[in-house]
Amino acid sequence: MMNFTRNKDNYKVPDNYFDEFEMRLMNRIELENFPKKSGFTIPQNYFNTAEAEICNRTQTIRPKVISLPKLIAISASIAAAVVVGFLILNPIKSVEESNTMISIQEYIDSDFMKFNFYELDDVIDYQTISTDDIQFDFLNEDEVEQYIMEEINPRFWPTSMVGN
Amino acid sequence: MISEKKLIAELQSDASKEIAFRHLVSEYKERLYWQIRNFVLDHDDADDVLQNTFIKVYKNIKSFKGESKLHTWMYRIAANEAITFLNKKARRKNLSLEQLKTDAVKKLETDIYFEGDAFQLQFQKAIATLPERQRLIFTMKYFNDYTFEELSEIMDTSVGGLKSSYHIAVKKITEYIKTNEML
Repeated sequence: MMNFTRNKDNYKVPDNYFDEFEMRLMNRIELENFPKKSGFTIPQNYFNTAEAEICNRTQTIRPKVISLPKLIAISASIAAAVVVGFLILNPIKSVEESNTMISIQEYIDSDFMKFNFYELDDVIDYQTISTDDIQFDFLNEDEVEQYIMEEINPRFWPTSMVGN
Repeated sequence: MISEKKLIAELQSDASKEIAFRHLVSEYKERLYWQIRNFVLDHDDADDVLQNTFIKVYKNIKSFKGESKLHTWMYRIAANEAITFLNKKARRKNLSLEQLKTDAVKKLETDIYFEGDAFQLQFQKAIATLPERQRLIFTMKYFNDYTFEELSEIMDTSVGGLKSSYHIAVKKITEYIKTNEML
């Protein structure tokens, strides 16, 4: 609840009103001295051409068609990244956690991880996250491989790392 | 003028999306452009960011849940796109963001799409010294006349916090201009 200062006539003003008023007034005066316009201009007919160009660009946006093998490869990579990320943040410490890992692997193996890129678009909702905010460059391939070799049960190693 | 609710419904329907999107572009292109231009300074950069903003709106409109107003959502996308654009440009040119801004203001002296006088140029130099977020708040409020309530929705910050940021920005700009003897 806001506190008010009373004067003898019982009129009230918010606390610190006069201090803040002075600051706000000085600010207004300073603003009066600023240029009213930025000075920027645009090429002739720019907005008409921009509108046409934007609408033309959206015409070329079509649903992404991805071949099945490529989709499987991408899905597997995402799943692997999720598992590795999970393990980096939560190293396996107990039998229970180990069982969780097995469940995750089975989940991936049994193809329950079904999603398409429209659903991914929904997951990566603009209102919550921007793909530009995701930084992948901190993941060094060698470090990830070394981590997998050291920390994860060999039965979860990718076949390329198990060798023949 | 079409109601926002109807426009959103049309944008989210495959059958009416194209026409509704054209309406949206026609309605908001100028306001978004000036918001972006006052932040990135260069016309070609502003054009790129404006296009990126609308493409992002087009691609993500189905996931728009109406938790904020449509235009607020678009202004937020434009603000994010402008910041992202400048960061990427700085990385690409191997410059700090500060250096990029300094260069951009310097370029205004010969820019055919800048017709400001010496004082307006000095004003732009002063604005360029502000930290990114403060610069965004200042340019959106001063040049685009957003209300603090609108800015609060766009920036997801309290009105009080925005007012204080804006006042600090005004003080910094005044100091810069005074130091450089233009006022």
